[in-house]
Amino acid sequence: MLVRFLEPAILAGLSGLDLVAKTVVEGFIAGLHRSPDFGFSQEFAEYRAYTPGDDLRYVDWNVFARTERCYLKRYRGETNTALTVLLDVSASMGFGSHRVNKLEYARFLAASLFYLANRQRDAAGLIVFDEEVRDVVAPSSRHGQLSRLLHALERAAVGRQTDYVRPFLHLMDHLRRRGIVVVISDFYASPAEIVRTMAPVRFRGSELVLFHVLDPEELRPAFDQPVLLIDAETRRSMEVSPEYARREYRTRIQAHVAELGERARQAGMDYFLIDTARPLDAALREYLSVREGRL
Amino acid sequence: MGLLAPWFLAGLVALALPVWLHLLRRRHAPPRRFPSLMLFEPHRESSVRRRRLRYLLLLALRCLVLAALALAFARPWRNTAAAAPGADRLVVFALDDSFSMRHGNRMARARSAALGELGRLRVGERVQVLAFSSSVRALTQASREHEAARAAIASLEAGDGHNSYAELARALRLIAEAERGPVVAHVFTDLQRSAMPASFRDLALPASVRLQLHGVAEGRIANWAVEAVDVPSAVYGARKLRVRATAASFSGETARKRVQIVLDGRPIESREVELPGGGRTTVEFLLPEPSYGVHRGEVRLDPPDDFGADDRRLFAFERRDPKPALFVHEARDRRSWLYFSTALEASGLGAFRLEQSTPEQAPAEKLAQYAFIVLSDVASLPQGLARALADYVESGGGVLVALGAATAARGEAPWPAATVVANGETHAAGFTVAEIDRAHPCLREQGLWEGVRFYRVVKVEPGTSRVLVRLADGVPLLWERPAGAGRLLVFASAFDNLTNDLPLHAVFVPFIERTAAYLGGLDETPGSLTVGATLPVTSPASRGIAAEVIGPDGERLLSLDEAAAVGSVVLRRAGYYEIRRPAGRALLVAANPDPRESDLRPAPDDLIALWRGETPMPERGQGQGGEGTRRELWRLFVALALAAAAAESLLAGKYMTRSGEAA
Repeated sequence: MLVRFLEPAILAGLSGLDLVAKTVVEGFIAGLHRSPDFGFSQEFAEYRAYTPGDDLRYVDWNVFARTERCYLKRYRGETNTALTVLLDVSASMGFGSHRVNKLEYARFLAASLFYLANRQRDAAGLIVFDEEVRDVVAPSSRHGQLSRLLHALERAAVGRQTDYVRPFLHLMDHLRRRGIVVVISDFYASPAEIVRTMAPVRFRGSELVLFHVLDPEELRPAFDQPVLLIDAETRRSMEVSPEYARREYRTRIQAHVAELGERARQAGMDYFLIDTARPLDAALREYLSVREGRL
Repeated sequence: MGLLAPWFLAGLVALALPVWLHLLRRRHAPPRRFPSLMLFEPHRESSVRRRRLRYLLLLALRCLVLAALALAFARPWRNTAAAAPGADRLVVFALDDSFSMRHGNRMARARSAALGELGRLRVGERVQVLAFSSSVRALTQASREHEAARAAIASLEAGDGHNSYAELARALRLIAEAERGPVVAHVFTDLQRSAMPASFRDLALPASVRLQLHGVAEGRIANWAVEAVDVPSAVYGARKLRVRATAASFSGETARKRVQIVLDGRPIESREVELPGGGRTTVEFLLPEPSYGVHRGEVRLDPPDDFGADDRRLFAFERRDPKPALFVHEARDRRSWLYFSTALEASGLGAFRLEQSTPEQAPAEKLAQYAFIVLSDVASLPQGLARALADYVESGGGVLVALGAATAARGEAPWPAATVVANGETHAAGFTVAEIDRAHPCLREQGLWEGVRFYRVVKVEPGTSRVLVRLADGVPLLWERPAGAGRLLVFASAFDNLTNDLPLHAVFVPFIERTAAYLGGLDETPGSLTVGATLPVTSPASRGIAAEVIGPDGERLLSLDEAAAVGSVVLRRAGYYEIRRPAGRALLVAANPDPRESDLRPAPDDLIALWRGETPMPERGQGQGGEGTRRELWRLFVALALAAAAAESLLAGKYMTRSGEAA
């Protein structure tokens, strides 16, 4: 069952990228990029004068013996970052106009990210939510974490309505250190509200990446006849003519995507629109390429 | 407005069908799950509403098709004239110029009344003048020029035709159909009873025609007239002329009258008769042998009454010598000659002087002098005689060929060339006649051929000939072969009373008389005709050769072109008509007014009131609700249905093109 998330073609595509040289400080591949934080590592960085309150374990006693001054020895540590994926499993994510619906595509995407993190020995966690937090796998880099994450993804089922407030409150409660927070959703909410809800994560120093997953039918609906559309979440129905779907709706969905992307970028978030008709590796490559450009 | 077949409105129930189908379509709009309707703003449903509106247009067109068809079948009508009371009306002046208008000063009163009515019209009002008797003639077209109408009325004189109010009503109906507005018809007539049609419906007028009858009769008038004269058109030989005259009384009183025969202007004979009131008396005169040539005669009634025009009746006849006819038979066959000549003499025709001859003695070079020739069971003919017979027939002569035992023994007819198929077997019981072509002049107005038995008939294939008589076993007995300008009859039996018993039956004499008259080309035109009758000018054989027709006033009635092209002429006036045919042949015919014109009694008052419209007429009593022409509108609704169907087709096709939806 787990193998289906790890499509060899996807992994081969991702491995071909030169992630080491192009990833930001807290990249996906641990050990190949330098952490902005100092930690426990073998590579010396600098000495700093001791000040009361410093941990005596970090005092370089050899220097003290020669100079009778206390200096703390500091190293440039190779530290792993934490990847937290917030997966939207609301009812709207169950829509798909072809063989892979949005939720399945989101699972593929999350699994790929988890696999990458596991290869880089980064801690990875998962929060599955709709209007409630449905499942949580705390970030960890321990052995077997990947299996837990993939199992959690496998359990994720289509829920009900979407509420971004609850999962982010939960995230804020459990966010211990800075990391990368990836939100995979179709973002059927006001872009201003979405950005306003997620901005505190950014204030905590974490990187926030929004993967906006949409089906091609949502982007370019093509009806042959008037249809009675039923909202997957609210069950509200509305008769829609082909003319409206072809003209008015397309304008509005493009405006919605553009506004969300613009507001996200203004808030320091990364925003990526993913068409479920596109290959997954191509979407990831685009994402990584963008991040490379920001180095 | 109204409906002629309102029960077809039940078809409007079918309007529920498209409504139901459209409701079904709306219910069948396929539901489809969609992630979110967040981006579908409610006010944006206007596009959907627009689509529904177009659907409603489609629905409306479909309903319109059904409604228009139902209304078309219900046959709605509309009273058009009632809707346009101020429309430009046409005033028609119809003046009776029939023979009865010659009585007294009826015509003058009619003209005076018509001119008076014309003077009361507004200047510029449209008028038309008609004259009517047995037919209707437009003296002027519908025009605002009153002077032309006044001149036409002032110059109109009474004619000799028979009046017919049915013809007048028909003409008024045609005028009303052509006119959009109302028509006022002023009819100036003597309201003669005999002019009324048998069916009152023939007098019916459209509601847009307002009839104003102006009677010009003087009241009850006692009238006597010569109603009929029976005179043969030709007298042959030294025979006396038999004239049979009928005098009629159109009065309630018995009157004594003198009936006088005038021949070529000279009184010949008269007789006193007593005419019972409302009755008729027939007088027969046997005039002494008239001189040769054409004679003009008339029967007069003395003393003349107030209406003297019908107190005389014209006739014409011609004294001629009998024409020679040739009967060719074998010397041994005396029986055929005996029966044939006796029958011709007994017929009283007197037009032919029959001569007999054997084939060898027949004057081949003088055949043209004979009115007709009979070849009675001739076994053979001299070559010169056969050739002369062919020329004789080709040039218009008539020949009767009888095929008997001699022909059968020879195996073929001597003339015309015809092979005997079989010499009919002798049947003791004989065959009877099964089919007779009564349309042929030889067989017209004859008695039945029942009981006539044919024991031996020569069977000859008639080919393309017209078979006139056929026996019970289908064998042709008498047929006519086409032969140039002449007439050739073939009788497949003989007149010898051996091969058949025809000469012993009563039908034999009229058959011989008719056949002789037909072959001899006797003119059947009677010497006295009624005004309005058609007189044949040229015979079918002489078609294309001009004949001259001289009317009662001595004028030529036909131009040269008309004389060559027209086969007949209508006798419109009383008097003598002379027809001068080619080769110097002339015919004199007398034309008399219709005897019904002598009945001057007016039509019943209730009938006149009904026609005036003072009592509801059947046409006006069908709920039309006022004056006006009833115009049916079903064509309009059919056109509307077709237009709506075409629009529906276009609209539905447009929907299908746009969305692939089957509307």
